Amino acid sequence: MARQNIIFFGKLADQFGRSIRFEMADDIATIAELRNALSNGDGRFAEIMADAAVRACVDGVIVTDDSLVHAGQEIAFIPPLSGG
Amino acid sequence: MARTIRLEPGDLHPDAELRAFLAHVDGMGAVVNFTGLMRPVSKGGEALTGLFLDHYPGMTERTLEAIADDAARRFDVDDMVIIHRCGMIVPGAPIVFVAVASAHRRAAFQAADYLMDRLKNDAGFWKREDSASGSHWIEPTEQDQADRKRWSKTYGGN
Repeated sequence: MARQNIIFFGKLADQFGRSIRFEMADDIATIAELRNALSNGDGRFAEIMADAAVRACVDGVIVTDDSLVHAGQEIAFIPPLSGG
Repeated sequence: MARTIRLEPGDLHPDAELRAFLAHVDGMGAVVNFTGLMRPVSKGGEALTGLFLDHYPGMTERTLEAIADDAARRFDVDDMVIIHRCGMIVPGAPIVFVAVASAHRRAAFQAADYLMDRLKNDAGFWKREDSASGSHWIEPTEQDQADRKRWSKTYGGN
C-alpha cells in the first residue's frame, strides 16, 4: 500500500477537490486497475471512473487506460479540454 | 527563430506584448497579431460575470508548445509568441495574445489563423463561465472542431 495523491481539474476539481489522498494497493499496475480501485473504494468516483471521456494523466502526460502506473508518479484525472 | 510561450495568471496587456515582440523581430517583413477577449455574454445570451480558466501546470504549457511546434512546421514563420491567461478573467479582458513574424505576410496571416484554431480546440484548459445564475463548465463544440478541420487539407504555407 502507498499513500498516493490523485489530482483533478475542471469540473472534477469542483466535485472532488483539487486533490485526494488514496491508499494505492501494490498490485495496481495500470490506469484501468486504478480506476476500478477508486470506484470500489469510494462510490462517489464510480461514474467518472467509468466515463471514457475522463482521461488519466501520468506525470503530466495524457495516457490510455492500459498504461502502466505506480505510486509516486503524478496521477491526474481530467475532463475533456475546453480549449483556450 | 525565437518563441515565447507563457501562461499569464494576472492581466494580459496585448499592447505591451506586441511592443516587446516588435522590438525583437529581426529582419522579417511581416508581423501579424491577434487578441482574444472575454465576451461578456455566453453563447446562450446570458450576461457573464467572469470566466475561470483552470489549467494543469506543466501539462498546459506543453499543449501550447506542441501547437506552436505544429505551426512552425507548417508555415514559413520566424518568431512566434503565445501568451494565454489562466485563472479568473473579467468580461472584456484579453484572454490570449498571439503574434507571428514572417518574411512575407501570407504565411504570417495563415500561421496566426492556424494558431488560434488550434488554441481554441487543443489548448490545455478547462473553462468555467460564471453568471448570476451559476457556473457552467464548457465542453468542446462542433464549431470549434469544424475550425480545426479547416487545416486538414493543404492550406498554403509549407
